[in-house]
Amino acid sequence: EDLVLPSEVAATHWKTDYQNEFAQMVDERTNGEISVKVFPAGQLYNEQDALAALGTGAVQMVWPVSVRVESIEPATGVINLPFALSDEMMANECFAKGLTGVMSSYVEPRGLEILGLLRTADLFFIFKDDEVASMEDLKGKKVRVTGGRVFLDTMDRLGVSSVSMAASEMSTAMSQGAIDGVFSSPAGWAEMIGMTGKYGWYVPGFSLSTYAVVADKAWFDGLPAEHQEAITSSLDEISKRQWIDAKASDDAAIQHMIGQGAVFHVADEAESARWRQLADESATSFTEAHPEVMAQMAELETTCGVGG
Amino acid sequence: MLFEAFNRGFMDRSFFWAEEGVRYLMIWAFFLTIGAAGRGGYHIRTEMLVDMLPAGLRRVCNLLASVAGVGFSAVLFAASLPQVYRYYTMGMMTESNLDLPMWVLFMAMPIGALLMGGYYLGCLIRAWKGAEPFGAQPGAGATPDAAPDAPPEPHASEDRT
Amino acid sequence: MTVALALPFALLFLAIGSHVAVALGLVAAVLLLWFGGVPNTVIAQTAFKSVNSYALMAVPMFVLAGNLMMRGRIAELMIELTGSLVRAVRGGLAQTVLLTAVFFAAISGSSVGSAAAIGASTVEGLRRDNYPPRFAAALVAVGGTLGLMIPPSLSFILIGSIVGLPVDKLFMAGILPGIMEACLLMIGTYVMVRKNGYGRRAERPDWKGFGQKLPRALPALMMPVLVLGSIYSGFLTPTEVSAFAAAYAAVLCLLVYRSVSLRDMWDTARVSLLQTTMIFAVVMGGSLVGFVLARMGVSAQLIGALEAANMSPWVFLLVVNIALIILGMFLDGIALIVLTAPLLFPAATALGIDPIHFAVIMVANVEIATLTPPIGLNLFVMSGISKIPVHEVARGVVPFYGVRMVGLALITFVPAISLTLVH
Ligand code: NA
Ligand code: NA
Repeated sequence: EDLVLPSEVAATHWKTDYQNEFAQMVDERTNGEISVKVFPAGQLYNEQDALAALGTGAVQMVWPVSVRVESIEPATGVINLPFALSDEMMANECFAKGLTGVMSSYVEPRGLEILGLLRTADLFFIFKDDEVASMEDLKGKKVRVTGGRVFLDTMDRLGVSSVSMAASEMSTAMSQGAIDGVFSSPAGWAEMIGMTGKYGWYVPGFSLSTYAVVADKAWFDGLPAEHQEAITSSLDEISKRQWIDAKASDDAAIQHMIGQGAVFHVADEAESARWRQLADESATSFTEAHPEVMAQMAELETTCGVGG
Repeated sequence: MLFEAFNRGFMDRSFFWAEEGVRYLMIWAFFLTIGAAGRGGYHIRTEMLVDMLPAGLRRVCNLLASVAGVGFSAVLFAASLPQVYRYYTMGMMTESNLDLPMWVLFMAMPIGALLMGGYYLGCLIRAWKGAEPFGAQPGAGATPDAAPDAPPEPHASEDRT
Repeated sequence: MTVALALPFALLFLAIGSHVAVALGLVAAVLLLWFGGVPNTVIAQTAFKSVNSYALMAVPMFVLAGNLMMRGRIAELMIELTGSLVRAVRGGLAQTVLLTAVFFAAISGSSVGSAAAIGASTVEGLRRDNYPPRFAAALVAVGGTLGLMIPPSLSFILIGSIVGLPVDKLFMAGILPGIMEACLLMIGTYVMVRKNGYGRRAERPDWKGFGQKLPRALPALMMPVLVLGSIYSGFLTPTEVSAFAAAYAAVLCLLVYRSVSLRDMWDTARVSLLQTTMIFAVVMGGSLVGFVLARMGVSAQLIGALEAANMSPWVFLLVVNIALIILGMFLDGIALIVLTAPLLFPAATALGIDPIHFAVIMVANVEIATLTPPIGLNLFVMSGISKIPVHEVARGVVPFYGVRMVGLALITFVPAISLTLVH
């Protein structure tokens, strides 16, 4: 049986490496009875379309950025709220598993299932000419960002004007002054922007984004128990290790930029507290609209003894 | 688009929905006018070989080419309906804050496929009667005849040899 | 194997006069459904996705801008203006036509649009000036192709949206090759005119007439400056520029020159929409073919074969050029791009060829494809305008093929021409 796993990142991207590893593990654990077919670089589908194809029989699994799941069920936006996650919280197995379950419960009525969460990156601001080191410095800046409703609202409150633009255009746009900065990942800084963006401004946990491992529920439920087990155990193993590896390589990318002469500021405790407060305010529309998922998150944190 | 550029350039504001709105309008316009573009004679094809054939064979080719059009419309129609239905059950929305259900957007395709199928059925009937099925039809779209000043469009490429 | 079987079918459908979009789309869809083991919704999504692209949204507006400038008789204005000076060289009118072609290339995205705009107002004049009809038609047909290389260009937009390259960089890359091609054409034309005694003898340049005509032509002359300038400065994205170009053309034709009525405007908008639909339909059919190639692993096999053959990039480019020239005889430019880009770009990139350079090479081939029989859109258009048979236009183009080959060779083997402005 085929497990079609499309993705839109390049064949050389680390996500593809993990997907190939997943393919190999599942192959071994099911004695080749499930054959995972990875289609990187949008060869088959981009991830939004792949998500829509789950349940038609064309695709069985996708690992999109969690934000994409919001287009199906807005309540899942809870993990994309600022400061919703941290590396420490996700290191707690009770929390990580519980969170995956909560997320999954929201998409299951739509015929989907979430089997795991991987670390994408903890995003931060990168500016060409502005040495930003506090909220106030951001006012009036034109920054390229990617979607996320609560995130956009937070930007509004900060007085940042959000600009939508293809990733391939952002470096040029910044060097020509069409935008002042971008909100991007450590890898994006090191590989796509380089010293065009000399100033980094990082508020840890403000936008720790994840990949959700989404599967076709009817298909998954129809598998024999040992095949289900092979898939979930492989994913558990990969996600636990991936979380640590991804953090380490992000740190390395930042160190690389600093080595090149970049200026990198990290918010201290007091500044971070102000960001949390602002983020809470801009999340009110979300928390009011989805009280049930907020309660579930709070309960999870208490049960597992994390965050707060 | 201009509006967005204006806002980005002069008012430091950018609307995510502007880009999407234009895109979705264009998608609808495209699917709804595939048939109309056919009636106006705009779709490109190679008539050179067919025109060299004797009338009987030419009619066979025209019939086959029309059937191909009907077939492609049917494939698009049959393929898009389940996807529309899946979008509906999944409840996926468009990405921006336009908050448009994807199934509404995707409806352009089955509707467009129906219109397109209707056009090619018309071609089939014309071909059956032994007429030229794909030429610009009178009164369908602004053809060179309707606009004497305009140079011929690409479709007006009957071989003059 | 199945793919190899499908190719003759696709060609058969094209040969019996199927619409290109239908021939491509149907063969690809049947292949996917019967042999690919692919659920039919994949076809729907692939077809939908192919037209759901921000870059493609530049197409309708550039088509509209080009059609408006054509309808608004802007070409005559340009020809009168440049003609008053260029008549100082032997065969001045031929050179004027080429200069006007460059001007149109810089405001119009298509080759057919450029050729049609210039052709309508020059073919008669060229004949009166002692140029053979065949040469006159060929000159305009060849000059029109510059519209594909010099930005804005629908070819680059298509490549950008199919392969996922930034359109603004592709536009930038086309500037120098386009200018180089224009220069080569002017030199070639000069030689032909001298050798065959075409055209009038040189006259004194009419500076006074030039001065009188300049103010009236200035708003039109500003258009390429504004279009290229806003792309180059990065102030507008190519899609936004297209909207700007259409708006500027509308103001020019409706208000400044008053050469287009509101009714004409409505007609032109309709025509532009339907032409855009035609382009999108071919893109949709081609995207299904591209999907088949990827899904059945043809692209990967090609890359594997290239690696196994240990082919050098230069040999690869030579082979690709020959293949594109042959395919280009039978396919029009849009179909050529949508069919070959998904296959060739991964292969070229795997060999270390800069994709932007490769895009310029591909566009140079598309220019040639619009000029080669049996299917060459510019030949058809010029046959229609100059009322001479297609094969006569093609015979007229023959000497220009040599010029085009020199240009293609330079573009292919001197990457700097394409890449200097980009990197
Ligand atoms: Na152009
Ligand atoms: Na050709």
